[in-house]
Amino acid sequence: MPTRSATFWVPKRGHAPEEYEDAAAAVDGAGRYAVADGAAESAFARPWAEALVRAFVALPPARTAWGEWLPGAQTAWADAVGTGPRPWYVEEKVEEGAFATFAGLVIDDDGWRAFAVGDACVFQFRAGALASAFPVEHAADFGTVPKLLNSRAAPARAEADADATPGDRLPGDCFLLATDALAQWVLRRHEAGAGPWVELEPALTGDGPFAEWVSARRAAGAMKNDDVTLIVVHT
Amino acid sequence: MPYSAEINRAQPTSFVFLVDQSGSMGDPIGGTGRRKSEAVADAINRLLHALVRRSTKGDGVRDYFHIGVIGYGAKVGPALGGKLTPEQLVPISAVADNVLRVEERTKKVDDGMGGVASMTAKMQVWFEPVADGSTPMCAALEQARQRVAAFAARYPHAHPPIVLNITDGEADDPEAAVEAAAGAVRAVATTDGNVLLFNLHVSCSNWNPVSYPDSDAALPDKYARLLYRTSSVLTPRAVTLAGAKGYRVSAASRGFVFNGDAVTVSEFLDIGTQVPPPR
Repeated sequence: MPTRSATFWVPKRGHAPEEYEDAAAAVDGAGRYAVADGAAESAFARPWAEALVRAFVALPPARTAWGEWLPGAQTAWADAVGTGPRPWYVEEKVEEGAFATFAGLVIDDDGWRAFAVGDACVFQFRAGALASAFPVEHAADFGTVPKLLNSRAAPARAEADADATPGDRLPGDCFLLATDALAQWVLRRHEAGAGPWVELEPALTGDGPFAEWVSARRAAGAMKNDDVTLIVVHT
Repeated sequence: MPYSAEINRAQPTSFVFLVDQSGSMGDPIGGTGRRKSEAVADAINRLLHALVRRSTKGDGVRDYFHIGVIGYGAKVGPALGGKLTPEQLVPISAVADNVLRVEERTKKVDDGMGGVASMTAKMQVWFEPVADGSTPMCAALEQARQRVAAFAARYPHAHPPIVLNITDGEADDPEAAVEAAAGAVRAVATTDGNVLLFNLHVSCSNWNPVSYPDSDAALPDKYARLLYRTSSVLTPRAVTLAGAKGYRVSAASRGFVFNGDAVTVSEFLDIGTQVPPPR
């Protein structure tokens, strides 16, 4: 079951690349992909987003239970954050842990399975048309307080907050994993009767066009100004 | 749409707290046996703590907010302690790094087994309760005006500053003077809207508070009506939070509470400082 993927990302307008707090990871050989969006109000959100996606894609296809990979991500975050001495306000935030939304996708010979907490999304396109949207199905459902994965909470908490879905697949299907700003744009365009894939695809050649494409949509008010992360998976 | 400017380090917003420190603030507040001045100081310290937390990232505190606390009573002026007594607003990172003292507070919590346990919590203190003198509200409003005008000149496209005035009695000044001084505060503007002025009247009585009214019909006297008139209409964001906290509000609700008790003070500060999430 060969897949090939490409990853694209653009920081918030007005922010430097080192302030980007999303993360993406892809392992084509294992058919595992993940994106995460570190919450702006947490401290050490980027290392948390990175720990999540790395831990998820590192496992073989069959292993997807939260308890199998989340503790490893939490340990990696704690290692990245290290220990004090730190000012009292940073210490308080470390004790509280970092927060992030997450979407993971596993593609195998039988089809696909997706897992999410919050509003990072997985989309399936078939012949250029949106075939499924997960876990958010309507553009109006992107709230200001999505569910979040915490770097200190027990995996049972993630299990309770998570959505999961299986799906079938035909050769040639294409999958997108996107953090919320781009995911909301996809659903808005779909709901407006415009084909989001047709509009997006020309921007996915090389490095330059995607950033310009995002800038143009932010400037037009069609996409909120936020970190944007996209993995495109062709099957 | 006004009050929607993005808040970031290059374009922060500002909160200015005007705190009545007149002698009568030493009387107990409705709903508890504590002094009004203590209940207000606790609420302000808790809010400053929340603003610091909101602005803290792994590399330190980001200056999304510029803060002013002005006391008025026996004297009128900056009221944050320690090194934080400048004439202008202070960035939230400077607030974070200049805690006056840390207090240990004991609170009762559910022990999960049907009983009550005591828990010690640390509380950062920046602002101390004071109750002395009269109520020179106009002088405080003028100091607020100078600070927010300087802020608006420096950040002309920012979310406009919000001024929150907490008082327990009639001003020393004539009604027309208070109205003019408050009007001058609200007249300061950025391209994102006029400065907002919200008023909280705290009471030592246990009368029911009148919260976020959209007319002055239920207000008992001309002093209450004066504070109502000088209060800005709440932003839609603030109306949403007030509604979520159980207040009956409308799109025309003013940022005004009369006869507030201890709980109302904290909620007034939360509701009054609702702004778009900083980025």
